[in-house]
Parts: sequence; C-alpha cells; structure tokens
Amino acid sequence: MKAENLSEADGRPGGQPPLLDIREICKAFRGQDRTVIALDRVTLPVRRGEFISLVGASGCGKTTLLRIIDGLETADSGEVRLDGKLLTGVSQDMAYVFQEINLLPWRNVLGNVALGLEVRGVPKRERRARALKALEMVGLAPVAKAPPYTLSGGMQQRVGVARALAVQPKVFLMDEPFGQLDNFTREALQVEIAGLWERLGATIVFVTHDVDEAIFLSDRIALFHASPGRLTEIVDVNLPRPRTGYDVRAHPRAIELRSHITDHLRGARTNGDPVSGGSRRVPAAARTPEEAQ
Amino acid sequence: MHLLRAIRARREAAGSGGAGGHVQADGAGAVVAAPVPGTDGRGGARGTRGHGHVIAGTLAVGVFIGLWQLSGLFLDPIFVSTPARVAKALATLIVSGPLPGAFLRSLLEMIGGFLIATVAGVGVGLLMGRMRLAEKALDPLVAFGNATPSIALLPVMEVWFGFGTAARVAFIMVICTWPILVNTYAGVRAARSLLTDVGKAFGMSGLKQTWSIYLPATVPYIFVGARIALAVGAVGMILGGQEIGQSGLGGLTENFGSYSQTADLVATIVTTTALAMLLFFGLRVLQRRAFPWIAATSAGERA
Amino acid sequence: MTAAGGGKVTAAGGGKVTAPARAPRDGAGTAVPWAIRRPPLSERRPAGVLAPVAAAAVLLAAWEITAQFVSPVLISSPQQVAVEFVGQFRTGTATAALEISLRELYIGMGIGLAAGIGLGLVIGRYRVLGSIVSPFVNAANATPLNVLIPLLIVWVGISTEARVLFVVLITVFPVLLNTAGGMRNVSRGYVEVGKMLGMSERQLLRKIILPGSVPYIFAGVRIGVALAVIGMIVGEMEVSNVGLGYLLNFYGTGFQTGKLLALVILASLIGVVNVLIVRGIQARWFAWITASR
Repeated sequence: MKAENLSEADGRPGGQPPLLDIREICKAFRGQDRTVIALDRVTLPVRRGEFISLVGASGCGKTTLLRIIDGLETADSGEVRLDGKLLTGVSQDMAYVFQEINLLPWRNVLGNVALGLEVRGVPKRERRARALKALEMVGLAPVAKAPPYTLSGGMQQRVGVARALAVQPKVFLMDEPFGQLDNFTREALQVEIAGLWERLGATIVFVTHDVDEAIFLSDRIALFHASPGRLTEIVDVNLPRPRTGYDVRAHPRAIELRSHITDHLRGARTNGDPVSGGSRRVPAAARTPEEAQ
Repeated sequence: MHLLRAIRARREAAGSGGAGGHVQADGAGAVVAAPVPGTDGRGGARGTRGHGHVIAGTLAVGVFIGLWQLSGLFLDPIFVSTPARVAKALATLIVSGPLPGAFLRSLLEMIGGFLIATVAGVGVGLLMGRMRLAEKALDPLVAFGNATPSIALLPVMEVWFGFGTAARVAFIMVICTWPILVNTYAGVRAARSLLTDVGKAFGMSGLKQTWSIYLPATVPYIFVGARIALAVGAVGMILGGQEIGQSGLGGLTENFGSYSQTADLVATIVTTTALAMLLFFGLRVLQRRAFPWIAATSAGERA
Repeated sequence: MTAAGGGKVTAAGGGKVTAPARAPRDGAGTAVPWAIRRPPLSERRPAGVLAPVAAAAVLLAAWEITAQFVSPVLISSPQQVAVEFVGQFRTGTATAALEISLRELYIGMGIGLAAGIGLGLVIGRYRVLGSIVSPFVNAANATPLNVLIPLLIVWVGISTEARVLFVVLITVFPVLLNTAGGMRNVSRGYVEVGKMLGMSERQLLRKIILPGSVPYIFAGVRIGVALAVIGMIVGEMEVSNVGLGYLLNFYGTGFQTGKLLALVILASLIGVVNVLIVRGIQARWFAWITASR
C-alpha cells in the first residue's frame, strides 16, 4: 500500500469515519523578526482503537499539534473533530500525558489520579475506587498514599498515565511521555503502554522523536518535517502483534521501516527554509515509498 | 547544612528582579534571595501587564491625592497634612532648607557602607565557597551572625565608633554585609554543582577559576543579595540618622516630628522614598548595563 | 530502543582497575568494577564536626584575648557577657522586657502576616486591583519604613499601639507582594494539568493556583518574620521606654557593654527561634515544598 497523506475516510476499504479527524491545521508563531510556521495544513485522520505515533525532529510541530488537538492551544485555522463533533476549547473526552509529568506535589498519588474525577463531579467513594483501579492498571496501587516526590521518574510518569486512565477518555494524547526517563525505565514503560493499549482497545496519539519507540508501539507512524511544519508521510507499521514476544528490532520489516524513516527525516534537515518558501524532496539514495513496502 | 537550604530557597524563589525591600530568611535564618516573583527590580510590575496597568495605577494615585487633599477639610492637618502643604514645604525645604544637605549626607553614608559591605561580603562569600576549610569553619558562625538582627547592633556601633559619621557608616556596613555574603556563598555553591568540571577540564588554576568562572556565575546571586542589603541598609541609614546624632534624612524626621511639623515631616518621608527608589533604580541599571546576560541564567530568568 | 540489556559492564581503562572483594552492584545485580584511587588531599573534606567547633573555639579565644587588651567599654569578654546574660534574667530585667517585646512582636507579626497573605490573595486574584494598588505597595516596599515612626508618634503617641502598628506595616508589604506574585508564578505545567482535566476558572483557582502559591507564600512569610523582628527592635529604640530595643539603647548610651552584648545575643536567639518555628511548620505540614520545582 502506498504511504501517503490520507483524507476523507481513512483509506481502508469500507473504512469507517475516523474517531479523531484533524483537518488542515495551521499554526504560526510570530516572533520579533521572523515568523515560524509550526504547522502547515496538517491533516490526519486517527482511527478508532489505533496507536499512531507522530515522529519528527525537535521543533517540527508535533507537540504543538498534540496540544492543539487537546485544546491547550488554538490553531490559526483548521478544525479537529472527535466522533464527528467539532471541538472548541479543552476536550474532556481526551486525556493528555505530559513530558514533564506534572504531578501536583501537594497531593499524594491517589489525589493526583483522582483529580480528573473530582473535576467531573464524581462522588468521593467512586472517585477513590476508580482512581485505585487506574493505579492498579499501572501497578502502583501500593504507593497510593505516597507523595509524588518520593517516587522515581518512571513511577511518576506511570502515575501520570494512571491519571489519564482514570477519566476513561476516548483518546489518549501522549507527548514524549518517556523523554525524561533513562533507557531502562523507558523500555519497561513502552511494554506497559503497549499492554494497556491492547487490554483497553484505546486510541492513542503518541509523540516521540525516538524512531524505534514508534516502531515498537504503533500501528501507523506519521512523519513530520520542520520549517514549515508539515505532515509528509504516514507509514503503516505492519508488524505482528503482540510485539513483546519477539525481538522487534531484528525483524526485517522493522529494519526496513527504520531505514526509510531515518532517511526521510534526514531529508527534513535539508528542506528549504521559510524565506525561500517551499520544500524540496531530497533525491536520496533512500528507497522510494513503493520499495519501503 | 544551613546554607544549603539557602540555595534551595533561592532556587525555589528563582532570581526574578526582586522588588526592593524583600529580605528573605530561610530555614537557617540565612538571609537569602529576596526575589519577588512577578515583580521587577525596583518593585515595578512586569512589562507583561502593559498600558492598562499603568493607566489604572496613575488614576489610583491621582484619586489618592485628591482624597488626601479633601481630607484636609475635616481632619486636623497635624495628622496627615495635605498635598498642597506638603508640596509647599518640600519646595521650601529644598530651596532654602536642610533637605538637599540631608539627602546628600544620607545618600553618601548609605553608599559608603554598602560598598564596603559588598567588598567584604563578596570576598568572604567567595572564600567560603571555594575553600572547603573556610566553609566548614565559618558556616555556623555565618549562620549565627546572619540570624542576628543587625539592627540590634546600633548601640554597639555607638560604643565603638562614637556618635558620628563613622558609627553610622559602620552600622550600615554591618547590616549590608550579611545578605551579600550569604547570597554570594549560595551562588558559589550553585555554580559549584554546575561548573566544577569546566575549569578543571581547561586546566585552570584555582585562582583563575574563581575569577573567570565562579565570580561571573555568582553575579546574579550577588545582585539579589545587594537588593536585600539595600532594603535593610536603608532602614539602618534612617535609624542611624535618627539615633546617632540627628543627621541626614533620619535626623530631619526626628526634628520635624518632635515639633509636629507634619508637612515638613511628610515632605521628608516622600524624599526618603525617592532616595530609596533612586538607589534601587541605580542598582538595576548597573545590573542591566554591566551584566545584561543575567536574565538568561536560571538565577535571573524571571528578572 | 537501545541495545543495552542485562549484559556485563566492562571496565573502560586498563591498569588501575581492580575489582575489590565486595564489589558494589548496579541495579541489575551485576558487579561493577571500580577504579581504586584515593582522592588528593585538597579534595578531602575535613572532619565534619571538628572544623566549626575548632573555629568557634578560636573565635572565643580571640574574643577573650581582645577583651583583655581593650577597654571593657568597647568589648566585654565572653565570660562577662555570659554572666550578664544570666544576671539580666535573674534580676528580671530581661524577663520583663521580653514579655513586652515578644507580645508586641507576635501580635504585630500575626496581623501583618495574615493581612499580607489575605490581601495578597485578593490582589493576586483580581488583576485590576493589583494595578490600582501597585504604585502604593511598591513605594511602601522600597521605603525604609522607620522613616514613618515620627509620624506614628504624632498619631498615637509613644505607645504599644504605635509599636505594634509599625511591626504590622513593616511585615505586610513583602508578604503581600510575594503572595500576589506567587499566584502569578505557579508553574505552567500544573495549570495545564488543570486545564487539560477540564477545570473551570474557579476550580483552577482552588485546586491549582492556591496550593501552587504556597511555596511563594512561605518565602514571603520568612521575609516577613525577619522584618518583624527588625521592626520590633527599631520600634522599641525609638518609640518606647520599655522592651528589648529600649534596653539595648539604654545600655549602649550608658556604656554598659556587657549587658548590651548579652541582650544582642538574646535578640539573635529570638531570630533563630522564629526561623526554626517557620522551618518546623514547613517540614510538618508542607514538606512537599522543597520537592516542587
């Protein structure tokens, strides 16, 4: 299947409308002496139950896009629809997991996880139960009463994930959630997220600059270029699941993907700059999209 | 360690410009960073607020002066006087009165004490930060000295230096030294954790490291300490003027107060406020001109 | 994903590397060989307790010696100061002074802190108020407030009211500024968590801004407490014929240096005790403050 930008129905034969429909998102940041086009008509349909990663170098707008999707920032133009409904402002049907984790230090772990439920007016006993259940899902029920600062970075981020789980969102938005953690913790958490995703049948939009992480976790990978920020390609990962039972990195398809993606992203660096406008594809020794299949 | 808290408290309140008059005492009583988040060096509000803010403020001042003037209709002027009288008194005091002389005297004593304190405070602070031995030895003494309200030493200054200028300057100096010392020390410690390897990697001698690496890195902290010193030092400046002889602006307030010359008294108070603001402004200008890069460091990121 | 795994850690350099009998182990339980090398003398820390005790002893000795050579009017020996210290209490002079001083100190401090925090919260909440009040608060904050004392005397005469009022004045402004400013400086990450979870303005204020301001409020309180002590002493030097500050002045002009120094030490103790109380409160109820940010 040719990798390309998809619009309308999500391109699958007999495809359903996407759960999360992102259309023509544009966002520019105006500075003192120059304007940075963070997002240039980004269109991305996200299917129900899929795990899709947004991959690109730093500064290519993927975090901005994620924040726009959640409503933490507003786009200059374009729209986001969830289940067909147009989104304005922050959506309570989506939950965001931050790179900086951002656990409130004045609440204990349980208090942090239950926070979203408080906002939604869930009664106390039910809040507690649901929060504990979310903590169990990430294996942290024992530390429910602990203050966040006593936890390691990995544990804190798992609490961050639990916080999102507790509100049972339709879509999880994760912004490089493991970026601040060491390699070993990161790998363990990747496995955990993959497991959670499978168990819950969740829809996850995941931002990362780690190509291997994206390949391990995702159904599809959306590739971004910077300056101007564009969605240039969406690739299907097509690796067998569950991906924990074998060495994904050694799989030929994964090797192929990694090579294709890295070439693609390397080409991003020699893109045209905003002044001259437009971009040009690098005539790479890279494979063509057809060959990448 | 007591002064380790100083860094933490310092970090947690991160070095914004720091309004004048903010003396911060942390866990050990170490007078540390006085940055007031959200405000700028001289206590002026941050630029993010813009025009509406300035207009509201100006209007408020205008209304205040108006009400103040009206109060003179039913309140005995001995209590708060009126803006009109105060303005007149101010003019008279400046043109033919003791105000300019007093202003100058207070200003010079303040600057003198402050400068000596800066040399002493920065010197010892650097010493403690760079020499483990000095640090270990001096730390508890510094913590104790810093916890002492230097104001209480006024009579001691009188005993040692007599009842004149020397005592007043020494008093200001003692007050100003502690915050500068403690903050310089905190700055060196912070720099230590970040920059220790840089100098070594370049093969610099200890002294060169101190001069080229640690001192610049500590400058933002020194300025924070300077602001605290200025705030409390000003209290000492006025107190000295009131208690050690009757000199400078402090002496004038004492004089006018005892004769219930409220208009003159308020005029002097206004002048003192102006002097204090001038000092903070001067400090801020010095910081911006000589060290414009401070805003880019973590210590000055909110400045 | 990285290739690191549970493999053995190899020593990088040759020669000096030896594995001692009880090698330290890393998180995975693998023995980590380390280089054995004694740190040079300059890097060794002097024994913890020895140096300050030695330094204190040296200082005391120097003090004692100076006192021998110098007129007792200038400096009393440590021994004399100690004697006077005890004497002041035995005769009841210090006790009586403390009774007055401490009462005025804590009443004034209490009002000042409460007013500062309360007003600060209101001002932090309503920006317009902040703009209106700003010129006055900032002017007051920059001014050495003891310049107002003769005016206070005109108003209420030489009295307890004047002194308490002065302590209130000197305490209130920095506390106010720190509180109001603190509300504005709550970490953006925490605020975004609140927004992401769908909090209303009121909920944001109550659940995020207010608790998030606590560290800043504490910073202001520490400043206020220190200033209150200063205010008490200054007030009593000028507006009083009783109390600690008055006594300090009295002994000073009377050249009773021994008693003077004893009271200076007493004043220090008050300062230290205050600081310990604030620190204790923070440790007991707000332990999370040092951990945040």
